[in-house]
Amino acid sequence: MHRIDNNENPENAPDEELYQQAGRGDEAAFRCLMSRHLDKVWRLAFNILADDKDAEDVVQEVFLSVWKNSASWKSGTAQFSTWLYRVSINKAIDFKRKQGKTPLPMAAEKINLLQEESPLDIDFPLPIDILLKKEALQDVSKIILSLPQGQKKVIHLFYFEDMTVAEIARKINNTEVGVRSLLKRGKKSLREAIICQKKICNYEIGRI
Amino acid sequence: MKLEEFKNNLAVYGGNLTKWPAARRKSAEGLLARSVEAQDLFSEATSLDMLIDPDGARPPDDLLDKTTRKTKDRT
Repeated sequence: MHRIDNNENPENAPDEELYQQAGRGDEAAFRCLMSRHLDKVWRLAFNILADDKDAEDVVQEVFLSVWKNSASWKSGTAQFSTWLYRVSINKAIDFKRKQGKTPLPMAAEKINLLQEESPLDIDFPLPIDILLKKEALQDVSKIILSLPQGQKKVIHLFYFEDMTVAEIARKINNTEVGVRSLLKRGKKSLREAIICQKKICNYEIGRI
Repeated sequence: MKLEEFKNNLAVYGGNLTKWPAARRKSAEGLLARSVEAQDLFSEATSLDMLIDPDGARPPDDLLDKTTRKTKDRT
C-alpha cells in the first residue's frame, strides 16, 4: 500500500490509493483527490443543470458522500474516476428532479431502455480523460487549426462564439444538417488527433 | 432515446445539454439516469469539450476550499 505521510506528496499517488487513505481520515489525501477531479465533476453537473450555483451544490454533495463513505467505490470494478463521474451525473440528475425542473422519464422511454442490449466498446480510463488529468496536451487549438476549413469554422463558432447549430447554418449559409455533419466530423477528427497525440507522447495508462 | 441516438447527439452537440435541442435534452436526461453506458459517453464528451475549450465554463476558484470546509463541518 502506498502510504502518504508528511514526507510524501499525495499528488504522486493514484486515485485509488488516495481514496483508501481518505477512507482512513487522511484529509490531505482527500483534498488532493478533490483537487484532481473537481473541475470535471463541476462541469458534468453544470452540463446537466445549466446553473453555476447548483453545480457547486452537486460538487459538494458528491465529495461529501465520498468522504462519509456513503458513496463507496470498490476496487476491481470501474476505475475510481469512472465511478466518481457516474456518481456525479446521478447526483446532478437527482438534484434536478428534486427541484422539479424535469419530469421523470416517460413509460415508453423506459421500455426503450429495457430493449437496449448494446454495451459500448469503451476501454477505461478513456484516453481523453487521461490527457485532461495529466494536462499533457498543451495546445488543442493547434489541432483545431489543422482541421479542414469547414470543420474548423463550425467548431470555432459552436465552442468559442457559443452559437447554436441554426445560427451557424445562417451565418455560413449552409443547412442545419450540413452544420451538424461538419461538427460531428470535426470533433471526430479532433478526438482521433488527440488520441494519436497521446500515443506519440506515450502516456502510461496504468499510472493514472 | 436509445443509446445510439444519444451517442450521435453527443458527437454533434457535445456534453453541454443546454446546446441540445430541447426535446432531445429531456429524453437524454432520462437515458442518463438509467444507463451507465450513456453516463460514460457523456463523461467522455464533457472531457472533449473541456479540451477543446479550456476557458469555457469553470467552477469558481474557491470551490475547493468551500467544499473542504463543508466536508469538515458536516462530519
